[in-house]
Amino acid sequence: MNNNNNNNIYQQQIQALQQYKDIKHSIQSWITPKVLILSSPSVGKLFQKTNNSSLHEVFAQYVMEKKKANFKIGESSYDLQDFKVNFINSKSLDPQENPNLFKDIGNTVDSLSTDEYCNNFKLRTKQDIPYFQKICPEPTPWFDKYRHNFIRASHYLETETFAHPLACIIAVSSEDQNPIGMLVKMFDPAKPPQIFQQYNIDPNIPKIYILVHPETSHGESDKRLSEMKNTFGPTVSYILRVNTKEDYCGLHFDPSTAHLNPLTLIINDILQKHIPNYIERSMIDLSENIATNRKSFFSKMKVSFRIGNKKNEKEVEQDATQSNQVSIEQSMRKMADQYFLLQDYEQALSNYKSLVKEYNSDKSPNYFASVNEMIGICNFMLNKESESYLELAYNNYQKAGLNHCSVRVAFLHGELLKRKSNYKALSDLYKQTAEKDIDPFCSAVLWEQAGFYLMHSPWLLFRKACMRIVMAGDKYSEAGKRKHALRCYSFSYSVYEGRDWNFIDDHLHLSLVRYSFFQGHTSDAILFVNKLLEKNCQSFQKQNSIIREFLFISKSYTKDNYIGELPIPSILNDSIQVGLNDYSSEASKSIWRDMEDGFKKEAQIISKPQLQGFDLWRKDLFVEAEKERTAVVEELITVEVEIKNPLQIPLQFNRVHLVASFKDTTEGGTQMEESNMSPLDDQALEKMQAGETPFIVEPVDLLLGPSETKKLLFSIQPTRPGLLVIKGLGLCMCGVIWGKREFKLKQKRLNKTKAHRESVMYEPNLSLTFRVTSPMPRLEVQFLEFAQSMFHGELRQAKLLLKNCSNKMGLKNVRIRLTHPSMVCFGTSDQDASLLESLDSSVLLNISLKANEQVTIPFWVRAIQIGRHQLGCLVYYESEAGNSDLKYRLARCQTEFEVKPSIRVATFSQQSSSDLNAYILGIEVDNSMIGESTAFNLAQFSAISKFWKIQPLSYQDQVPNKSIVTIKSNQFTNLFFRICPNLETSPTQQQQQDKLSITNISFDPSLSMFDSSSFPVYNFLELEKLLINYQLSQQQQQQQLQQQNQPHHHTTSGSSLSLSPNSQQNYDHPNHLDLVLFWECNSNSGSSLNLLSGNRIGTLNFPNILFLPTHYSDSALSTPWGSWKSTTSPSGKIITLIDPNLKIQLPLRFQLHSDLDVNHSFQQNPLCIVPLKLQLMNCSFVHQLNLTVECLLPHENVFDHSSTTSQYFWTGSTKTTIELKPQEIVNLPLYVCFNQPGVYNINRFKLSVKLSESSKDIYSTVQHLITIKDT
Amino acid sequence: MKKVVCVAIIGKGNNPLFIQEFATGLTDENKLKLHYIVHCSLDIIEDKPGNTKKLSSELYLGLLYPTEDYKVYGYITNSKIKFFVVVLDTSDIKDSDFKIFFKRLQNLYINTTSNPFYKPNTKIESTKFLQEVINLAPSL
Repeated sequence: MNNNNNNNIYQQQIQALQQYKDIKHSIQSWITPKVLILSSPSVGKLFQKTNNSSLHEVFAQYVMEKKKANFKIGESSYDLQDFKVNFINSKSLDPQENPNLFKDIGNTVDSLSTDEYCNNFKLRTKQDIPYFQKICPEPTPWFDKYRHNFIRASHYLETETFAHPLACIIAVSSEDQNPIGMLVKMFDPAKPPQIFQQYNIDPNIPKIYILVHPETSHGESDKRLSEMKNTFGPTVSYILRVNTKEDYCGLHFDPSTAHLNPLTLIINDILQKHIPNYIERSMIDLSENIATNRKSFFSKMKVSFRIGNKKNEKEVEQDATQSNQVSIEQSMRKMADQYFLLQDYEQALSNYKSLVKEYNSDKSPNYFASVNEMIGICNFMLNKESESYLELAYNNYQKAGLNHCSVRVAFLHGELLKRKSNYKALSDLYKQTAEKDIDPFCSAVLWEQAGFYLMHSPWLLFRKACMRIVMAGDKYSEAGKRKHALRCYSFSYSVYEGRDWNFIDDHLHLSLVRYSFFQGHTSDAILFVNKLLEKNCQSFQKQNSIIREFLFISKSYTKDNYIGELPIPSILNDSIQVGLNDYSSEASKSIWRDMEDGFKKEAQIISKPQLQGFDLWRKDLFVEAEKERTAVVEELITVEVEIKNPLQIPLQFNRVHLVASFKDTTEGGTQMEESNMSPLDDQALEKMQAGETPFIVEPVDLLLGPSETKKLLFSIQPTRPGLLVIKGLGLCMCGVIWGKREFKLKQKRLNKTKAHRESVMYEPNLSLTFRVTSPMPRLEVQFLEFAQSMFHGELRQAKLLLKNCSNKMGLKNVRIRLTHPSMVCFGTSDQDASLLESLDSSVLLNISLKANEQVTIPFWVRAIQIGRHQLGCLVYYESEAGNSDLKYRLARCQTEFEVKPSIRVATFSQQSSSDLNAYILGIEVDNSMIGESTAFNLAQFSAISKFWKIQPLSYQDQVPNKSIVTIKSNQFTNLFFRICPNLETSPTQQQQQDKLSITNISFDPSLSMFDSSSFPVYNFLELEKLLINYQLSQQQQQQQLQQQNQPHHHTTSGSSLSLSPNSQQNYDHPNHLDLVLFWECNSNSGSSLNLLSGNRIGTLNFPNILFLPTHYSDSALSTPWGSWKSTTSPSGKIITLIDPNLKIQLPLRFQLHSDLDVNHSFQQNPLCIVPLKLQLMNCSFVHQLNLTVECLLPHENVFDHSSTTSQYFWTGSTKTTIELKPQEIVNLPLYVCFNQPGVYNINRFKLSVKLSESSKDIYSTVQHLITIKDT
Repeated sequence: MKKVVCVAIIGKGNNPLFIQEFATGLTDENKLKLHYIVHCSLDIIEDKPGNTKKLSSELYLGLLYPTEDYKVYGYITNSKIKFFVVVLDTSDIKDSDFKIFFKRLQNLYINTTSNPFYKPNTKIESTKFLQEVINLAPSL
């Protein structure tokens, strides 16, 4: 029902609009008899009071219907079917009131204005225009009505006599003091109102006198009426009883009861009696007047024709007859106008045509224009050619400066052009008119029409059309029609958008910002402010004014001064960093990640599923979704953001704070989302400080200079468990407007399922989402007394402070991981030491802390790598109360220190040539620090091995000269030691295998010995070995990977008898020992910085020094003799102390013993037989050796020509098979025989050793010279 | 009195590469109007029948757009770069002079855009080019 009604109303509206389309209708309602209504102030008040109307509006209701009227002019009679009059008041006649009049006309079409021409249409190219015209044939529905109202209301009293009133209604109230006197005074024909005199309006028009009598009034109405009838005549006196309580004083027009209404009577009298009578009479007067003057008129015309060139004369003549002439012309005009009013266009036209000859365009362009206009209109009404007349009229109105008349002509002419589809000319005509100084709304309407008609033109000048629509927007804004203006701007904007027309863009953006705001489209406004400021190409003055305007507009058009998303400042979203106690920040993530993962594994919180086999194909399905991070109640979450001012002017922001939303997710919670989006004014601040909010933020004041970027740290403190999401920043711009800036985090594009791929979906970024959990203890960790600078190998003690910051909760299960695990040993002695088993495990400290307790843990640091280091310490702890959300927490601390180089050591080892079971060890100590005054004193040298001990070789019991163990800058020293088996421990005794033999050699007997086997020296040695093993295994893995990548590259070391290379037991043989060199120094440099000034000690470890039996004759078994190997590794790179080829490949040593000088009398015995002893030793502690000793024939003498041969012969048994048990030494007797004196080299024997698969032949390469002397 | 009011270069996608006003004492509003005028002139260029041909030896387009105060002359290169000169309505300049002027302007444009650091189809921000255009303008 309602819908139907609406439809009906709409239909009616359409019909009403339709009638405005007919311009003839507009002309008729414009050129129609006018009835002036003059009312006394009390009457005005009466109508004003009841319905804010006036008497003429009440009258106007009664002429909507068709009224008939009869006129008799001379012989012809006019029977008008639809005779209308316009009721006007004196105000609308007054030209002074014109601007207000036009404004009122503009306001009549307000209800028709639209937000946009067409929904969802964007004009981008000219190809869009036909589509636009199709979907939106009539973009400006208000135009016709406006045109109608404009034409209807416009009048130019000086020339247009049809605008003069033909009758006058004079109304007084019976409440007035002297109504009769007043009626007389209000219109005295002798002294008519000023406007009548000014425009030569006939004062002798019929006058109708009305006494308005309110029913409540006590005045005697009947008596007054009869008085009036006596004074003015009975036909023109009326009484109008009104009911002040009803709308329109009870005079509202109702078609059904209209015939009973007193007004109907009055109006019918006016239309059918008074006006016809007047017109008939005035026509007679006019024709008489014209007739009497015609003669002189024609004679004058003839004169002027004859003396056409003598202008001066003519002007004088004209001036003389001016007064007379005006009246004739005016009479003619008036007569023509009255014919027009009687709708006799033929008669009117002929009159106008004869009149037009009287005027000329130079002298009186206004009259000339007006008559031409009327000729045009008459022609138009008669459907004849009228354009040329209208053009003339238009040009002459322009000449006369009558812009509004020219607008009217333009409207009429425009309609003609439209009918001819001459859109280009029409558009240009409107544009030309609009540029004149006219009412801004009218100008805007014209610009708009000019724009749209241009689109109809075949050339499709859409850019020009849009420019005109922009101009229309400018004019609309001048007229204060914001809705119209916004529509124009937003329609044209699409043509310029994103095409770099900065200047135009700025203009449009600025306008769009303003009018979007005015229309309440705040989000649009902000969008355009953003665009406006995006390019940043304005001058700073302009930006200043933009900002001011923005602040002003937003202040006056927003609620609570809260605007929502602000356009500035810009937030560098990539720079957002969250600081959370339990998580490492992005920047330092690489340091902590491995350690964190380690703890995760230990705590058995597996984050990633273990994939095997076919799962690997569908890896993406098993990737665990990222979870939000956990924060703890009452602990700060910090967010670091970079904020930039994109403008060239400084900006001030107050109370910048984090904006977040909070949701209570606990069971029985409210599930309500709370946020602090609203302004953080004093009230909100108080509320927050009182703890009523679920989180507390810290506001910061901020001043950003032009183009300045600042890094700011914000914090938020949750006060209840739940889900907290940080949204962005809230701020007060320039102390005026509250708003927020949201963080826009990078999101991963999803690409897993079909749905993901088909549409654009993003994974939520959870880096600003936090699950707030119930209170937990919080541990703070700090390094104390940590030396900042150390020498390589130096040992230092430091402390770690653990402090439980919680007031309520205790913590337990403290574990520690370090970035440099091999550098730190926790504890003070063997008893309380907490040791690492492997490098990737954590140190468990047996500590639990109650609330507010703290503990200091001593530890040793040993500098093993030169350079600057960041020592990171990650401490794991659990709450004593336990927490399901957060099983454990982590605390971090870091310190930085420097390791400077100290002494460097090289070692060499070699088998002893004199003792089968002894080896030589040489160490070369080098202080290569040039320019440093530090001198290092070697304090002690320790060897740690299961089976071996060392003895000094370079000197006897004591160091002969202290200087050889004090190494100054750029000095070096050599020390030699003998490695011999430790007889106390024998490898055969299985039960004692684990026991270590330690030899300590002190270089300064006055000092007490360091215990190399105890904490921390031994532990550091073990750690260093662990590190080396770890690095070795890493290397091997890499090599394996490389080999896998190069499958064709086989190892060519086929001759090697080595065991498989990846065996960890590289040195399963016992021929190795670990050495520790202790040094001391008294460093002055930087002592002020060091807490422990004075003696500093350090140890240099050389683990796994090998000493092997060598067999030179076989390249596979030989080791180079006497090569020094650098054993300290200041850079931390591992030095492969164990060459994989340097296995104990053949654990056999042999030596030949005999007398070297033999005196023999060859005369007594021609053969000299010398006994030799071949010592054979099995170096292995485990394996048994089977070997055959075979004596070989000596070489032939080199000198063939020599008469004598110097040969020796083996005698006795020359081939023996021997079985050697582990560590067994066997003396094999051999005999050699000489027949001449001389020097012989006895080395011609071969040892064939049976190995597991093959046998190996060994030839002696050592000279064994025996000198035989003849006595 | 200077005749040239504005010189504009418009790129392939009808985006402005260079717009420089010359008249002294121009208000922002007038500047804006000049920009609109140049933008509107694009309509006419698109309409020119010669525009549809593949290559035309005649690059000069002649008077495009007379308004009350100004006249717009155009020139289009074979790579669809448009050059506009807005002159005062009162000035009377021969077509041959315009041809020479545009040819010079095109040469300047070519020299500037041949700079390897210039990204094609972006705003010309070279101050040298600006100076050269300013020097060239009075020659008309």
